[in-house]
Amino acid sequence: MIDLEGVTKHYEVGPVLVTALAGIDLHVDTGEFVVVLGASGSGKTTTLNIIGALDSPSSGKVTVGGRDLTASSRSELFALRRETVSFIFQSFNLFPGLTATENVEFGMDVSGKSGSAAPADILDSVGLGHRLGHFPHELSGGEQQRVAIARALATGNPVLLADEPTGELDFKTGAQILELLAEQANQDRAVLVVTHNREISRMADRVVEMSSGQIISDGPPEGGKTPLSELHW
Amino acid sequence: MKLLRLRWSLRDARRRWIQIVAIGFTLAIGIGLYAGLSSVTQWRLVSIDKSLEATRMYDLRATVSEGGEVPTGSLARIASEIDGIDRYNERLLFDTQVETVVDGDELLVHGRIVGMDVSGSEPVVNDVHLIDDAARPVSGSAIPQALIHRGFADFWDLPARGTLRVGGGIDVDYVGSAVSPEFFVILERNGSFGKSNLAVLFTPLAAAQDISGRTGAVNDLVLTLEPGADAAAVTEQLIEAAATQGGVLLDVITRDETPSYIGLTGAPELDQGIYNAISLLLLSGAAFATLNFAARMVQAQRREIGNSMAIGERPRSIIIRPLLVGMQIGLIGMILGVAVGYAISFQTASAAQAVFLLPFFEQPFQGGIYAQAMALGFAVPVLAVLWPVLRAVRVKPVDAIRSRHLASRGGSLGPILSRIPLPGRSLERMPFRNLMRAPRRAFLTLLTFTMSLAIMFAMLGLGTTLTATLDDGNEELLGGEPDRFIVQMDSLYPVDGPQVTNVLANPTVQLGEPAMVLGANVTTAASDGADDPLRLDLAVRFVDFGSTTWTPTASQGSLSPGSPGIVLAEKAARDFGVGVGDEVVVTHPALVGGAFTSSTRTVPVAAIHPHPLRLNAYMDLSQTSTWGFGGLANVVTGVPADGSTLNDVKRSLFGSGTGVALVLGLNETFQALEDSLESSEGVFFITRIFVVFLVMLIAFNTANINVDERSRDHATMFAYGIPVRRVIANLSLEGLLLGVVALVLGGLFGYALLLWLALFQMSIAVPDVGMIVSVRWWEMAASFVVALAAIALAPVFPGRKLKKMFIPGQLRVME
Repeated sequence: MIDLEGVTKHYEVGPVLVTALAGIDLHVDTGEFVVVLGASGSGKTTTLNIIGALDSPSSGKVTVGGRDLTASSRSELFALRRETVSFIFQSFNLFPGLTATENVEFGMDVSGKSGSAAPADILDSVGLGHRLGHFPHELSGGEQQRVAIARALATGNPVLLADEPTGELDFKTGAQILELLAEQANQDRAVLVVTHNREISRMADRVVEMSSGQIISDGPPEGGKTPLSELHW
Repeated sequence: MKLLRLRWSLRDARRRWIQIVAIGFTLAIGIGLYAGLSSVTQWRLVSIDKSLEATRMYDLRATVSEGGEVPTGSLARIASEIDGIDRYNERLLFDTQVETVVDGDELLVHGRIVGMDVSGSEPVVNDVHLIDDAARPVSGSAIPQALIHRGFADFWDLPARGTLRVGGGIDVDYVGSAVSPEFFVILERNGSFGKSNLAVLFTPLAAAQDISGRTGAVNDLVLTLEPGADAAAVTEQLIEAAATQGGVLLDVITRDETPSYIGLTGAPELDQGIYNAISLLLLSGAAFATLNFAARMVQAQRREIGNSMAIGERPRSIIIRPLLVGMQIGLIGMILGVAVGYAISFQTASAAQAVFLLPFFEQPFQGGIYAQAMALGFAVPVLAVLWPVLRAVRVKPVDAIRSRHLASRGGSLGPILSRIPLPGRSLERMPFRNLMRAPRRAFLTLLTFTMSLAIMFAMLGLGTTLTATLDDGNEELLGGEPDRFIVQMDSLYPVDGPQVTNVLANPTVQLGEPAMVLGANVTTAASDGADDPLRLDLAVRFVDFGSTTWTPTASQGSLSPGSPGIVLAEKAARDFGVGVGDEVVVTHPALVGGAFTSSTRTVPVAAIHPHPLRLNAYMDLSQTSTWGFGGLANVVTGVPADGSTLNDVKRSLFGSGTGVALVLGLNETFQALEDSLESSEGVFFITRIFVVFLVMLIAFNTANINVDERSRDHATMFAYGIPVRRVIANLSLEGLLLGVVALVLGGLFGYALLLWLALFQMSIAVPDVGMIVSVRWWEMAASFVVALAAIALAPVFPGRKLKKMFIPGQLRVME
């Protein structure tokens, strides 16, 4: 589903050339729940942005859903984001003028999947059946993140990209969110979660650890996949 | 710390310079229009005073009645014997026709010869002021010499010197152009003449006497009074002395009663009233726009304000940075405002100079007005910035930090409006939702659009109204015959006498009808005995109500041949507060036993006619006998015979020398208004341009700030694959929603403004004209489409910013 071959990314900050990615290779299949782990500046978010076609690599090849992003036009990249990948952000990024239901409808509308499922049902599936008509500012952080997940799920897209989805949440709420994301992998989606929290990585099928723009390890979590109930952070 | 704030603020300015300049320019248009338009009024008042003083306009003017004349020196002798008179001059004035060729085309217009002292050798009353290198005409030359009125010469672009032909086929050499206070603005009592169709020639008295064949005669005296002299007493003594010594009746008017003086001095007040309304609205619109934008810019800094509060910075220090932004906007507004003001004032001044033909047009810098406008321009953005900052520093730091949440709530109305269910897909709902969640912000933007569009509507409507008033008036008098004319006889003649029959039988004339026009003073029966009843001097025209050629239109009531009733203009009826069936009291001249006397009678209002000139009234021709004028006529109306033109009629009748004083096409009735309207169009045009520009600036600012404020929303949309064009379309739709509502409100408000300007303001300055409020809808629609297009296209400009957005950078902004 996701293929990165020799991907590099450099930024020019004044006269200084900063290397964010120093030639990484990564393959993620459908149904995999992958956590990308690393400290700040390790390149994990850049990787996520490149997979999601929010940013372009300096070199290398990126294929998502069978589409070569490095050879795609701007409009094809927009289409990829509508039809293939969906994002979940640390700061939720809900539309403040839309209710919870409408935010979910937005996900359906952009992907052209309106009518495939009721937004209320999707919100219900993330435990927000009682918050349908609420606006983002009327919801708690955890609830907002669940709306964001519902919005991403509503697209029906096969790739789910989450950037520090628990960063603003307490442990209990964060755990619920991760559980939700893990469930998506079981529904034939490729789920990629970026985090700096090593504890979270223990519940993944696979952990990709990055440092200084390179993948330093890639495999099952140390000590094997751990149930959510055993996690601590 | 203060230096840091200054550096920080300058950095803000560099980052947001487009917005700051755009907001400053918005403000500049408001203050520039106010300062520019107000300056012109001051320039005009100063220039009028100086011009009148330099040419010594008369305090009193005495004219021998009924076209009579007296020997040269007789009026001067009377004046010399009356206390209180300072200077006086005798003149001979008479009307003629003036013929010349302009660009190969024959020009035949009405002329007026003013025989007076033009030597400049001694100070005279009502002096001429020579333009450029004009020479002074001398008497005794083989061809009489004259100075031609500058307005006429400029309008027709005549050469500096040349020859004209006046009535009787006499050639006159004009040796330059000049102006005189009586003709600083060409405005006659009936508004028939403007600078384009009245050629005034100033000649030496002797030359005028020669041209007219009235050797040694004068018919006019202009005089100035000594300080403190009683004008009424002098008037009385003049009339009495003329009657007893010369056996003539004098008509005496004061300077204040002179139509051109009224027009000259009243116009700046009228214009200032209109300018005040326009500039006040624009300034308010610009101020609201500035308030809105500045507040939103500060709103965007609320988190930083919260952070400053959290680390313990004093509120007064926190205020400095946003305040500096306000000051920068104010400074730009002030500087650009002066430029806009000058652009407006010079355009308006040039229009004023085309109408008011003053020898001096002073344009001193109006420091007071500009200082006032600039102070306002500086205060508005500073206050606009202070308001949200003071709000921000009053809340708890934690709330200020959560600015996004606070902003989302939209006060008390936002949550209510946000819950209104909307149809359509989520993306389609977004523009509505964005407006609903911030109703105050939307309202302020709406207000600024509404005010701008209202002014545009009123400006367009005012032009259309003036044109419609002229057109409707002409149409009413022409009755479907574009060349219908009126022949004014120089006295009363029997309808079967040679003078009238000559006109009727002239081969260039057909459908001729003798009629009578008499002046009458009219008041209402109801106001009899009231302290200050409205009294109007009307020109009552006696026409055959049974005529198949032409009768006035009765918009109310009916015209019955033989009816004793009077037909009043709608404006007169409205001012009197009378309708059909009511009565008015008419004081009119009467001819009893061959002598003129005055008579008062009560007359029913038979009908109301739609002609806009208030002074036009009609009665059936049969009623001339009740006024003692049965069988007499002093005007003849008609149309050119087949194969003849109006010029043929003018030339043929005026040259006939049989009692014809004037031949005037009825389509020239409003020439004065038409001439001044033509000159005002430049002011209307530039005002409209600035209004459209203001609308564009407001739309641009709104779109630009929306793009800044919603960068995260837009980044999220892009992350979900929404194309940039769709985001721009949504922004356009949001602007259009406000634009359409503003169109409706601006249209309504603009119409109300138009009614106020046309019916109230104009009626103060031009009380004799009943404006016919008219709107050319296609013109309005075209202008509004332009305005809407500007609003819709505004988001395209910040669209570049959207296209270049670094999406991840926006998405990772933390709360």
